[in-house]
Amino acid sequence: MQFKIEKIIIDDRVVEDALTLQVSSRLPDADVKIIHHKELAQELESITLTEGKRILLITRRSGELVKPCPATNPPYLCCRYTVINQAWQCPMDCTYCVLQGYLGKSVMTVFSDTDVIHSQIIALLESEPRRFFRFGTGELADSLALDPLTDQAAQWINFFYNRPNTLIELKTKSDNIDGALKAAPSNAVLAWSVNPKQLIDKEELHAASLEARLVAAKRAQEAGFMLAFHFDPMVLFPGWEQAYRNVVQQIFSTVDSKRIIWISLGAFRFPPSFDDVIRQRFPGSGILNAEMIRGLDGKMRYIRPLREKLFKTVVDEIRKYDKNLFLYFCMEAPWMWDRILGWTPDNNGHLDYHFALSVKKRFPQIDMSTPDIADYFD
Amino acid sequence: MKFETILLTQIQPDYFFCFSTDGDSIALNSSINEMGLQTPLPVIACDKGFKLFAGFKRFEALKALKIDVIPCRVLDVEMSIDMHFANELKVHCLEKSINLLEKSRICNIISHPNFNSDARKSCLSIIELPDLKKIIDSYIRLLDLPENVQIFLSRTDVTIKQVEIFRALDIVDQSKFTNWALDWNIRPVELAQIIRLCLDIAKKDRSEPFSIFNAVLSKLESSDNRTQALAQVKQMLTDIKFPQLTAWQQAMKTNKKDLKAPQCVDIAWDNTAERPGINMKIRLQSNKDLSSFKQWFDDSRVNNIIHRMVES
Repeated sequence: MQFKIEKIIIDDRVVEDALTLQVSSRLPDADVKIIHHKELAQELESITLTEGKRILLITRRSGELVKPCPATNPPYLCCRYTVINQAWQCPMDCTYCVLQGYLGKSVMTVFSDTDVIHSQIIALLESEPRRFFRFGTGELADSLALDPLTDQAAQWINFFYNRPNTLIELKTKSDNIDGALKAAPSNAVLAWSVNPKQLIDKEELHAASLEARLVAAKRAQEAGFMLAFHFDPMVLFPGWEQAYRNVVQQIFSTVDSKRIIWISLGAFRFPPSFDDVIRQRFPGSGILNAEMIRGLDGKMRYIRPLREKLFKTVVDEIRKYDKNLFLYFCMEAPWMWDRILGWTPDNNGHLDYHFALSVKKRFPQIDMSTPDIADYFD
Repeated sequence: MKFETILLTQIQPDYFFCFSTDGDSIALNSSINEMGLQTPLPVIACDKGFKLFAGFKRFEALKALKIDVIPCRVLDVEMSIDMHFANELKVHCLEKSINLLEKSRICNIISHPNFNSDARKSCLSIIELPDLKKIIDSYIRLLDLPENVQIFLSRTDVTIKQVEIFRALDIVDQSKFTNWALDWNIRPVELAQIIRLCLDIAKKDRSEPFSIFNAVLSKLESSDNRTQALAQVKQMLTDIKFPQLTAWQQAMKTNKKDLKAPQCVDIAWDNTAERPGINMKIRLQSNKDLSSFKQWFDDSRVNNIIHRMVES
C-alpha cells in the first residue's frame, strides 16, 4: 500500500493523549499543527478531499460514536450492524467510495476518546443483554489502514476478548494485520472487501492487491481469527462474470471456508448527488457507465436484472465450494433475497436473528445466548 | 448623501460593478427622453470626479441622448464603495428578481480579493447564497461559457447544477446545443437533460456528445410538434443509454400484447424494473366480464406468458 501522511493536525485538547503521542512519534517527518478546538472547522474548510488523504486529524468528539449502521430505506433490507465511528475517512482513494459524498471534505480523522466509546459499547450491550451484537469499525473508515500508526486493531480485539453475546469485525482493503495478530482472537473477525484485480487496479487506488489481501486473510486464519469477505461494491465492467468467479476461486483456494463467518454481497449504489463527485474527482473512471436507475430508496443502483445476474454469478460460484456459508445482501430488496438466496428475511430484525443463529451453529466456541426471535424485534 | 447635478463628463463608470442583464435600452431611452431621469444615479466622489458603480444602463441611455447634466445621489465617501454597492444591490433586489447570470456576475464581483468582507456577506445574504467557496465558484464558472450560452441559460429557472452539465461540453458543442435549443424553443432545463444523456452515452461509447445527438435527430419521425419531438429525442437517447432496460421493457410490452387480455384486465409493471413482476387490475362490472376473465385466465398459453413476465 502506498500512501503517506504528510501532516498531523492535533486538537489542542488531545495533545497529551496516548494516541496523539504515539501517532506523532511514528510520523517523525510529518508537519504537526496544533489547533485550538474551536478553530478546527475553519482550518479544515479549505482542505480538499484529495489533500485530506495526506492529513491526519486527531481530535475528540462529543456525541454518539457507537450507533446502528445508517442502512437504507425500505423495502431494502439491512442487517442491523452496529458501527463504531472511531475514525473517519481513509488514506485509500476508491473511485466509488461513498465517503467522498457522505462526509464532504473531511480529512482523515481519528478520535482519541476510546474510553467514551468503550462505555457506549458496554451500555448498548447491557441494554439488550440477550441479543447478539455485531460491531464494526469499517463503516466510515478502513479498520486497518492506519493501524501501523494507531495500534487500534489489537485494542479492539482485546476489548471484545471473551465478551459474551458480541463480536467485532475489522473490515479492510489493506494487508495491515501485524497489529491485529498480536491480540488473542476470541471474538474478532478480520474481514476483507474484495473485488477482481482489474477493478482493484483501476478503481481502488492505494489499496492492497487481491493477492495481498488473501495472503493476509490466510495468516489471520492461521492465527485463529474468524474471517469474512465482502463483495461490496460489486461493479460491472467488461468481463466481470469470469473476473468475479476468479475472485471466489482465489478465496476458497486460499482459506478454509469453515472459518468464514459470513460473506456479503452488495452492488454499486450511491446517492444521486454523488455522481458529480465521482465525475469531478475521477474523470477517467468508467464506473458510472452502466445502466443505473434511482432505486426505491432514492439511491442510484444498477437495474435489477443486471444486479440479479451479478449476484447469481457470485452466489452460484460460492455454493460450489460451500453450501452452508452464511451469505447476505447489503441493502437489497426482499425479492432479490428470494430469487438469489432462496429465502427472505421478514424484516431487518429477522435478518439480525439469522446472523445470530448462524454464528451460534457454526461457531459454538463463541460465548452467546441461544438466539430467541423475540430479542430481535426492532 | 446629497443630491447634486453633475456634468456627464465628470462621471466615470466603474464597470467592475456592472452585473445587470436587463437590456431593453430602447424603452429606457424613450422613457428618459419623455419623462427625464426618475431615479438619480448613485455616485461617489473620487480624485478625478465621480465614480459610478450602479445604474450603468441609465448612464448609457443619458449618454446616447446627449444629456450633459445628470441628477445624482452623491454618497458618503466614509463608507466603502463595496458597502454602497451592497446597499444598491439590496434596493435593486427589492424592485426586481435577479437571474442566474446576474447572480454569477455578483459572485464574481464579491470574490475579488480586495472586496470588503462585510459587504461580501451582505451581498451573499441579499442574493441568498451561503458563504461557501465551492458554491460561489460554481456560480462564477457560468461566466466561462460563451456569451450566447450564458444569456440562454439566464432566461429561465435553470439551476447551477444544470449549468455544470453545459460546462462538460467543449465550447463548440455548447454553442451548437444552445443554437438548436433556441431554434426549437427548448428550455434550458430540458436541454440540460438532453445534454446529460448525450454526455453519458458519449462517455460510454467514447464518442462526441453532439454527434450522438445529431444521429438521434436524423431519426426523428416528426419535428412539427415541439413537445412530441422533444419527448421522442429524450426517449431515443434514453433507449441508447439503457439498452438492457429498454430490451426488458420491449419484452414486457410484447408479452402484454401476446396476452390479448380482455378489456376488464389492466396489466402494468414498474418501468425501472426495480420491482419484479406485474400488477394486474381486474375490473368486473358484469357477469360477462367475469366469464371472459375466467376463460382468458384459464388458458395455459396465457399462464405461460404471465409466468414469463413475473420471472423476468
